[in-house]
Amino acid sequence: MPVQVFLNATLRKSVKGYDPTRGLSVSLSEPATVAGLCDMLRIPKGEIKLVMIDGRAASLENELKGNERIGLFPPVGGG
Amino acid sequence: MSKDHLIKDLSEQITDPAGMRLSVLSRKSALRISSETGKPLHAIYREALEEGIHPLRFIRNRNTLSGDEQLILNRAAVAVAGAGGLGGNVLMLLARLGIGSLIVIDSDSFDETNLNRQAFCTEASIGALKALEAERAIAKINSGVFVRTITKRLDQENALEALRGADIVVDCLDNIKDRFMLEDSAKTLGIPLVHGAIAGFEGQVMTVFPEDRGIAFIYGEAPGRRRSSPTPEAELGVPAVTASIIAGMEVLEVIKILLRKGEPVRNGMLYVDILAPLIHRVTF
Repeated sequence: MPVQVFLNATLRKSVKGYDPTRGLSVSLSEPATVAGLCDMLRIPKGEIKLVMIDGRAASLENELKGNERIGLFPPVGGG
Repeated sequence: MSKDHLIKDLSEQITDPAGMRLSVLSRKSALRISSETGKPLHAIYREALEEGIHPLRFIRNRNTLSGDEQLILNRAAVAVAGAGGLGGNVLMLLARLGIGSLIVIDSDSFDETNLNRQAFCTEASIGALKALEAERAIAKINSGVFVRTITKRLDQENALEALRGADIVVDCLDNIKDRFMLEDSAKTLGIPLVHGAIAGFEGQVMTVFPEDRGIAFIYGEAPGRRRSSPTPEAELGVPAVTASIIAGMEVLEVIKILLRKGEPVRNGMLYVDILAPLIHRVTF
């Protein structure tokens, strides 16, 4: 099942050639969670402070059903 | 000329760019009234607005900000924590908007690495205290703003006193731990906080009312924990364009809260990638 993943700030360096405009189109096999997705993409889960699924805050444990738009955010704190 | 009617007597009738006739008070006349009556300029602007006379300096805010709304901004007090990348731009915009009172909080001095983004950092101001430099720059933009500066480092003990009298506090700090402390203080005082943060070409904005959960939605509940890896802003830097755009969005939140217009970003976050470009709206 397909999902679309948007990596933000420093998380982008985990995926070589990441395109910020399009994000990543990823195909997952069920059952899938955000944590499993991160492991598959080799994104360090400890760097993630916020998970967004379809515009709502979620968690790494959230299960995915397919066609979600996922955003992963590190703790941005600069001024 | 009677001192009671000075504002009316010295106001002029003009036709604005949209073809409307209206009464305006020039800066020169406002300064004259201020020197004759001994009242500060922001009080003169306030009285003019109360009489339906537009200070000429705000005329291009019409009809986006009405005279009544300009009066609300004049009566407002906004505290800005941090006068660096976000804070300098926020203060500049708040001064231009005509916020009546500003509290500028920063204990740092400008250094050369601030020249890339901080609105009030100039080659000549390197070494000067950011808060005092901000006060000088604000007076050059709008001497009708009452400015209070705090050059002590904010902590749990002094934050309540520093923020006292503010209707809103704008978070322009540069680290997460202090942001939590600031939010706690704003909640204790029962005033809204506008949060903004940047890294690279990305940044985020959120408004927190006292009853909202607040920035824990974004950062989790453990602000004191040390990270093993560099912060995103340390790794990606903080260029001027991002500081400017996120500062503008923070000031928009201030306008929305004060004027009860539009919809503040509460219990949610706007995350902007200005390069992609993309905006994520996350609801908590």
